Amino acid sequence: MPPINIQRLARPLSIDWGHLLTVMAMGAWALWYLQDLRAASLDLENTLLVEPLIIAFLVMLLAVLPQCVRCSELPKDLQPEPLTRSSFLKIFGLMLAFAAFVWGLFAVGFDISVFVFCSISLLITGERRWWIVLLFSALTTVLIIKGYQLLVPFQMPNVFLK
Amino acid sequence: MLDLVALNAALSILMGGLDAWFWVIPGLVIGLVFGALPGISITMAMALFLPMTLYMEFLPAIIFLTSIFTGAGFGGSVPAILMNIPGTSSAVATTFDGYPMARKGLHNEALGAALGASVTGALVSYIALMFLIVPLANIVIKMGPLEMLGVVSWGMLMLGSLTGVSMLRGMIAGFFGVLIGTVGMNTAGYLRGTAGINELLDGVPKVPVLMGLLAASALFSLVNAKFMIESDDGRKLSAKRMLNGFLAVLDHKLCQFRGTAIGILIGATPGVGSSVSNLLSYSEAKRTSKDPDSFGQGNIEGVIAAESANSSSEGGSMATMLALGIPGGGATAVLLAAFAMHDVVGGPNFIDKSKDVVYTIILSNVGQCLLLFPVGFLFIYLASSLVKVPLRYLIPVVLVAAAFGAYAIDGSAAGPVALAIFAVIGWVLARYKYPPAAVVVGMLLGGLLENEALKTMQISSGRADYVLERPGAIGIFILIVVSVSLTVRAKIKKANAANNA
Repeated sequence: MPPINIQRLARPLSIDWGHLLTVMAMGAWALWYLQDLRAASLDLENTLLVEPLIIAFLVMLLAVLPQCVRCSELPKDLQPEPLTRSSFLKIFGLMLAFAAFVWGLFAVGFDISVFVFCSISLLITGERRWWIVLLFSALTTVLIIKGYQLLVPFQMPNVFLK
Repeated sequence: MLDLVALNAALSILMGGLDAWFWVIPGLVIGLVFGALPGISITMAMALFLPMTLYMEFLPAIIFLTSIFTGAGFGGSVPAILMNIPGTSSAVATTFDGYPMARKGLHNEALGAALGASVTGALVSYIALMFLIVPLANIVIKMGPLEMLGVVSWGMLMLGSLTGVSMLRGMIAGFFGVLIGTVGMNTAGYLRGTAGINELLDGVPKVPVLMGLLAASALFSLVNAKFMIESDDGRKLSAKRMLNGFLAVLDHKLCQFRGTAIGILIGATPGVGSSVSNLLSYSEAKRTSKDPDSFGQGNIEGVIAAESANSSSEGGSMATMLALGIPGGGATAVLLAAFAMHDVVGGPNFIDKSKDVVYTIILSNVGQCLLLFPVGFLFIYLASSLVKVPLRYLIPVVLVAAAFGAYAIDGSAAGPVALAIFAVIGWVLARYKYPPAAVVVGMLLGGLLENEALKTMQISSGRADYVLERPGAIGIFILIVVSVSLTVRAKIKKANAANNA
């Protein structure tokens, strides 16, 4: 048996916390899905494809774990692109605004939600002329809502554009 | 195969007056515009105009609706190329190379190639349909769950061509997609993975999820960019370059032919159709290409493969509808409804007794395909102006339109919520090199794979020798094995050549 290279094992870890969290989240969901599947029924008609797939998925996630804790040793094309603090904040801000917009569609109204989301995204993406922000958001709101109202047979809760 | 008397009668009907042709261009324009709108499916576009056809004669009504069908089939490729939004599952594979081409400033060529592949694919499929309508219908009716399982498994090979920079991460993404596709109630009635959310009973809403994974997540990454195409020269609109893209189909005849053949055969299969054919054709194009690594980076062959297959599926699905009276998907179901509104019933009797009408419908479709070239060309020229719009204005509009499209599917909050959740998941996955496209393909095929596997198990009572009773299935599985073996052989050869160099 070849001797274990202690020095190689003892090299410092370089943990990519974002990647680790992503893998852990997928693993947690897969474990929960497996438990839910087995709780539904152990009948072959239920587990035929899904159970072996979840097990294979979990094995692959285990195989990728070392890449999360030794990220500096990975080839360049497997490492995430560097993200500056301001870029990350812009992306995170846009994600939050989008989530709030989707919530607002049904809680506040489609028109107000679209107007506010357009204004916030324009500000996040760098538009500073207030009159353009207001005009563009208002135009987008009217055109999109009126257009989809013509096409879609479902009710859209609106405050102003009824 | 071809009834010349009926064909002559069909030609006389079509040449006899302008009534039938009058509705073609409006239908094509409606189809193109609706197809290009995120979330507005071909079915919805046709359904919206169905009541209008009640006041038309039978033939103009069917020609109008099939024109919408033809236009919308191509219209979906425009947002897929320009914004990475596959408005329908049939345009998913178009995004894989179309969007990277647009980002490189090759949007003129990509749109031209998509139009060329669509026009040629649809044209060939309708001409083939005239000769093959009856034999094709006979093949389709013999397709059982095992054969369908074979077709879907073949589509799953697509996952192998979407692995990106790491095979392991690509497979994780694909398996993740397949698992997402199996959430909800399966065909045996077992409910899993819904966490008590009623909206998930029928599974995750697929169109919002694929729009979130592919389009919305990409828009988050573009938040710091000024334009979709950075260089000023790249943003120029050029009819000449679009025409070059259109003619590129002639340089990739084999790819176009293979995509068309796959599209006709898979399109004729009810319940599968263009959502699988475009993936299968793309996968085969990549497998047989001399430069498979360039796929996903903006290879025009990828666009041609996807578009030739999804457009020719149209002809295939019409074959099943006309010959058997079975709708292969939503659009042909609307056409059957239009038949019913005019007291016409599709199926073997209709073909026997009204062959002239069948030929008239097919010939008018050939005419529509020819007219799609000028109408579609003008449309892509106008639509490609989108690349000139600064991203700061494009990002909110596209995100809002995607959310409205997700809502338009069933009028519930489930669509927009799924879109938002999977937009974030898509961004995270793309950041850590798990290709979101593989998740989408896995999700589209996962549910189908489980359904067909279950049906096969039920029909065969679990007997392994059942496969011996299905020569068609054996043929499909042999094709899969040959396809995989050839890929492995090519990879080994390439690796050996690299080692020797």
